[in-house]
Amino acid sequence: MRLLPLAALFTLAFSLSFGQAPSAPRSNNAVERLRAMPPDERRKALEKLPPDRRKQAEARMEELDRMSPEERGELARRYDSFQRLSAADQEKARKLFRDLNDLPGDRREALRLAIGHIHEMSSAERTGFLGSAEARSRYNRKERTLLQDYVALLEAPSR
Amino acid sequence: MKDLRPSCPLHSEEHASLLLDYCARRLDPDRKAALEAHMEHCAACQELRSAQRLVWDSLDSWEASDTGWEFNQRLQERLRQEGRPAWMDSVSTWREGISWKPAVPLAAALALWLMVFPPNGFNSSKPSAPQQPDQLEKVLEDVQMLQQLPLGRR
Repeated sequence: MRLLPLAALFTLAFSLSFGQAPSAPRSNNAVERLRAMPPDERRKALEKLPPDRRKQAEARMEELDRMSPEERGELARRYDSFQRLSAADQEKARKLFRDLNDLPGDRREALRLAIGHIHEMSSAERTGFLGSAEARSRYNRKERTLLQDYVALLEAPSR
Repeated sequence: MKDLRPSCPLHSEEHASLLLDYCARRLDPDRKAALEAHMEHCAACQELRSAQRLVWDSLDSWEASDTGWEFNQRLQERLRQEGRPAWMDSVSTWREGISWKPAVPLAAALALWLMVFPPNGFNSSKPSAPQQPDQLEKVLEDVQMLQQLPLGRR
């Protein structure tokens, strides 16, 4: 009987600490984590950024919110693949993205389409495509290098 | 009238029983008064009276502790437990020997700690998101990149 208050205190503490079972499976995916972030937490996190960067981040958040569940699922899958790349390969992907964005608008669009096709190809098809006369005629040397870098990332080993 | 005043009882075998009765508080009022009248003039008896008063005062201020009651309870409990296996007696003895008092504040502090700082991974119904602005911005940039740059196997 003397230990009853102590037992009650422990029961309360453990129910508060451990009792709330996650309502959904815990996701490690950043896309889902960003989506699940409460608005006030988002605001608090973003308000520390300089105004121009904050505006850009807010726009990206809103874009994420507007996505359909299927689009978010696909993006989450891509993010998982990206996370499995080595840090060096992740950095290569970011550089590739910056280089693609530095291209003129029409060429950027041409390479975006090419990237979409290459992603759907098998490994052998990719090698064949990059060495083909068609690729040499459609894309200049710099653009072909970017496409080769993209294929290398697709073929890169996962961690 | 009979003289009740005793000669010094310390020196008189005849009156020695007076002292024993006085110490036991059994003396009738007249004999007690007579003895105390004698004590007013007898240094040896005064000394004895002082010592005896110390005893009386001590007895008057002494309060019975509940040790005797607890002892009786334990004794009765032991008698009731006659026939129980020896290991049960050992367990009872062991439990009685434990003091839980020092553990109470420690346990309370631990419980409070668990309430204020729950262990990671147990108290979150939502997955945690990047909290640092730079980290959040980087994740958002990566997400935007991956919208245009599909990575991973088909």
